[in-house]
Amino acid sequence: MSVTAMKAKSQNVSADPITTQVIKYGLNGAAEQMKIAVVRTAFSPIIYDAHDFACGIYDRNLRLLSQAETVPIFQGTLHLVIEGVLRALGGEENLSPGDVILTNYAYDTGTHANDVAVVMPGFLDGALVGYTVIKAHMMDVGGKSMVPVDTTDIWQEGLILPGVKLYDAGVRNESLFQILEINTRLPQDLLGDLNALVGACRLGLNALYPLMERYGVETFGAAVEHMWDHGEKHVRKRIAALKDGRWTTTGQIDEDGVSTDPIEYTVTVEVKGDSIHVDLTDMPPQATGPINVPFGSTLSSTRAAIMAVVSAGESANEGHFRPISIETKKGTIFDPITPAPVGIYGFICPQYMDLIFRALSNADPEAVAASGPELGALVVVGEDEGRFWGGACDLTGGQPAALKYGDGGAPLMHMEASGTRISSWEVWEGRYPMIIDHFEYDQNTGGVGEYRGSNGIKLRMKALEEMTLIPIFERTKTGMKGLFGGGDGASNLCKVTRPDGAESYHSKAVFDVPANTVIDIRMSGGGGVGDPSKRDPKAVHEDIQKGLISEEFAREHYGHAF
Amino acid sequence: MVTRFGVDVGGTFTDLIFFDQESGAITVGKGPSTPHSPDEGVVNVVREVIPGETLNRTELFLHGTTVGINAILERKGSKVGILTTDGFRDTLEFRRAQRRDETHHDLDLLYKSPPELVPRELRLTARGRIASNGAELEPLSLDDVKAAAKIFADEDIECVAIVFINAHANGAHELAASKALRDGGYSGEISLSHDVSGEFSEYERTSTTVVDAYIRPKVARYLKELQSSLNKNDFDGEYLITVSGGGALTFSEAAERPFETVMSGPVAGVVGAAELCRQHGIDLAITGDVGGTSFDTALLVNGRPIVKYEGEVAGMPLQIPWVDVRSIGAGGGSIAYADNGLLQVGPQSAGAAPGPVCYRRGGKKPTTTDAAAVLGMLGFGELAGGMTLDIDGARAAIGELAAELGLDVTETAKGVIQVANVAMAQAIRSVSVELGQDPRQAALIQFGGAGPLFASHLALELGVETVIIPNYAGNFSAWGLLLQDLTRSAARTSVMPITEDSIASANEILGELFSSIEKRESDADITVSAHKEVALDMRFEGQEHSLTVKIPGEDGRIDLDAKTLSDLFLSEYKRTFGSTMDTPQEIVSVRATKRAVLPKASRSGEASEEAAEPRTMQAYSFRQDSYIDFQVIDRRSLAPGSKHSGPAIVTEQTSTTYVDSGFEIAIHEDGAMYLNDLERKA
Repeated sequence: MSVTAMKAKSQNVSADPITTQVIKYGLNGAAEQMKIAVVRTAFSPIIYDAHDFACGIYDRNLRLLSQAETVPIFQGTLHLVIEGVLRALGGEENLSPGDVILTNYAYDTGTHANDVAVVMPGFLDGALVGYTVIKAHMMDVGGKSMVPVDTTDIWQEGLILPGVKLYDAGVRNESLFQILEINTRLPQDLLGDLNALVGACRLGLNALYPLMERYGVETFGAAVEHMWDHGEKHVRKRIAALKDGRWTTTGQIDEDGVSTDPIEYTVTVEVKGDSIHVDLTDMPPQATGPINVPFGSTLSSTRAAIMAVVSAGESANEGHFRPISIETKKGTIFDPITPAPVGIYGFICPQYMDLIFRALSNADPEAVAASGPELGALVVVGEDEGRFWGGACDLTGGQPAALKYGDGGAPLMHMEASGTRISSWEVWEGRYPMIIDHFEYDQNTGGVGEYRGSNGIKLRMKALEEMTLIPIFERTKTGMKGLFGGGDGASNLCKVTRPDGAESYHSKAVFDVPANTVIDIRMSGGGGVGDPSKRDPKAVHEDIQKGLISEEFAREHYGHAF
Repeated sequence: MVTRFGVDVGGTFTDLIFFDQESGAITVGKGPSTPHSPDEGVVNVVREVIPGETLNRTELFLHGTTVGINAILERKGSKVGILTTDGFRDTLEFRRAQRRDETHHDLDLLYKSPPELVPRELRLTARGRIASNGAELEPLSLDDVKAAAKIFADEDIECVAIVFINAHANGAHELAASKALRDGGYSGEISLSHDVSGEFSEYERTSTTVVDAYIRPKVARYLKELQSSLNKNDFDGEYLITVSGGGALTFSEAAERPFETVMSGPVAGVVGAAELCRQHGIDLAITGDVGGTSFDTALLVNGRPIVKYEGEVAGMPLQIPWVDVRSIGAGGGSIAYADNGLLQVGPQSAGAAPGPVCYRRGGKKPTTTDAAAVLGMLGFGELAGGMTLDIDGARAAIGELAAELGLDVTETAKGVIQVANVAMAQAIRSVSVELGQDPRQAALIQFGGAGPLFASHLALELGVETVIIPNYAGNFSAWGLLLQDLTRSAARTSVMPITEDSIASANEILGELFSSIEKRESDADITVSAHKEVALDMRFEGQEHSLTVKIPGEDGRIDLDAKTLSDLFLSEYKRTFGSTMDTPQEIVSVRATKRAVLPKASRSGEASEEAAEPRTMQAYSFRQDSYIDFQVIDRRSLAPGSKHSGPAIVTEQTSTTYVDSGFEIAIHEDGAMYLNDLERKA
């Protein structure tokens, strides 16, 4: 059946609320099965432990049917991956059953070269009916370093494969596997992970087919429309309850990885009736270094931020996104043009999402929290008898305060990377030649306020051997903003002390260090909410008792408690 | 020969099954649970069902309890302090920065983690450090420990969890600290992380140790009180309790390792299903336990439950063997409602009070049971003691929901059952497909109060050919208790390549693990044949995730060479994940289990003459999509070996089985009821 025929027919078929629920469960189950398969078969911890991947199921019109909950910034934009692949192959007429197509071209995947995507078209009775797609972070794709932090174009960030067939009508493309194997420092991981993605995509299709067969493509299509309408209705209702208005907020990027100049930018959010519009046209030109955010991620982080405020716990589908529009300007940081480098785009997005929250705090003060936490990462790379090893840890800071829940709670990964986890240091010490001296709350670093932000986290590691360090920390120059009179939380910090006593501070860099180098990381404190002089004196003394703040700090900021 | 009784304490009812090995007689009892002091409910039902002289010659008491898990879920455990390595005071609170609980959503901006079981002021530290290979980097500061002891004593801490970094590799500092706490004047209980778990990952081990400390005084006290009450009632046999990994521990040992009893309740039914598989020669099975609030499902491969090596309760990980039982909020009491034009069922439940509308206990909101009553799935709605279901009330409640959705009453009732059914089917798929098993190939074993109601409908949804409704389906978990093995486990992490040397050191570790297990055995241990099982966690070099591989043999040793061990791993890996690689592999953890198998209880399924005559009524058939005639049959009238054709509604004391058209009922020689779908599309 052709696409138009399927669409026309689906309008005539009723989709009752029950069939819709049954199909919804089925689709969610299919996506969940893909996720489980990836987790259980992938080779790199960054995929199966940190869950740095996303799976989705799309219909033939590239509309999202279902996605498993993984990294939010990957979600809802995998259709761009399929679009890119179709462009590269010259259209859907060049697809056959059994095809597996690979792409890591940043301007198609919407992220960076390390994110490798696999697309598998699904055919029922010889007709194309949809796609499964998975995008996952691969540790090394042959860039100038494992994570590119100082690149000036996309060719330095890794081998680019823009929509090539890994399997052609079921036949394995051996040459492509050879190309992949020689173009990475970690061939075993790359090939093992790819294998996992292919298997999971196949599993997703196998779960999708029976649903389509059982209910017929028409009923299926109608049920999906019904599901989206429900999602749209839900979100529009929530947006309509927000105050109308147009608000502009300003952020600052520390540096672009090549120069050390800060970059200021503004985000404008407009709430009008039951829609939200985000205006990103007033943006600085694309940067020389790899902090540019490809449009796909601009779109997904915008959607994720707004969904975080208005979805109230619903898993998102295409319908949820309908009330959200976004406008960008080509050639700017949030809509760069190839070959602008994009390697660490992901570290720019948390602050961008914060700016949306901040703007929306005007529309509903109870719907958002103050700023924070910020994301940070340390990548360590070494060589052992000609074999590379590499480890990465994602880090987070203290939680901000919010009117809705009061003081910041225990640390959580930033919304952008929600679902990823901080490392186990026992695992880390067992695997890499390093000792962890401490990993705990950093006293006096939470934003003050009637409700205080949580403290940031301090981490000290010691390198026992010579190794390469790649720290990636944003917002080392600005704190986590407080809200409604609350104070700022502490900024991020990364200090490296070499055995000779030489100290250096880093935002984004790649450099070698000798054995016995000490790395001190301080992750941000959460922003506070409300006037500190209104804080309950009892709570101030509790914080002192818990050692979260010192008495001196308390006397300075909460004089009324004494 | 062992005469025994099992008591399973649930949220609403306390179920008892007594098995007399001499006569083969089985007696069933049910009484209300008494949450304020659960041992009362147990003693009441025991006194009601088992005469004193019979109890006196009974040898075994097997128990399933929710005391531990309820203490956690209701946050009514003891006051715990943590003593940990300097620099790691906040490990418990950081919980790997995960939004981790049942209702979490990744995009919930205003999510706030629930408060940790031990607040920061009671998390104290001591200097001293062990490396990941077990070497001492810095000696333990006894002064720090003694200073902590004073604070713990002053704060009236009931149990201290000692968790030092890398204690899985060397527990010496934890032992020294335990002694120093005493020297420093602390006299409460102590849990040591290397005793409790022995596995790496500091957050998960801390969580496990803290849970242990949190429920220790409560569980110990409960077990002691229960034992003394039953003693007073002339029972002087052996006391056993089910553990989360399947199998049972003696009460005295469970009091020492209370964290092992967290899943005591749900596991019993799965163990019962495993025994049913063994007796009936079934390899692949799935359990479906439908209670009032939740649906619990588990997979059995080769007739045995899947045992994971990490569990989770209330968002807190536990590093212990854990029968993989998944729960969702769908049961007989799940409330149906309209949400922006879509029909939703659960997870809120009407529970036992006020209960479904048709139970006449004041329930106003329509539940799955009400939908079933409207459709005739519960037959004439006759209950024990002459009570009948309020089917008109159920119809009125479903009618209100129907009006909201713009559907008719039958469509809505049908929809409620379907939505609940699909959610259960989804849970079954996740528990089976995730482990590489096709649910269509499995036998579905349905039990719990509402399990048999969904039997044929779940079979249709999943494409399953055979459903089994065991005897006493409504009390099946208590039956499962009677079938537990006596098990004890220990594990240690030790990463090493697969070589002859590594196998030798794994065998050394096994020797230590088994001797530590044997030290835990009590004098009162039952002397039955025991065997020693070994499993290894293995993986490809460079991976972090591992696969647990059972080692053949029952003597507690690895009698394989490196090549054979590697081949065993590769074939297991291929079977589980569909593909392997030709790169080097390694051993990650060594696992020892000592299992003593109790003589199995069994029963015969004679038909009873008290059974009521079959009658006919109209009920809704999902397969025909219309109301048709159903036979309403008293289960006691079904003779072993007989066959009957659906559609039918089979009633019994504690549950009702709905058999759609196209299904055949075949009664096994032991009385278990098989529902075979004769019209299944292959």
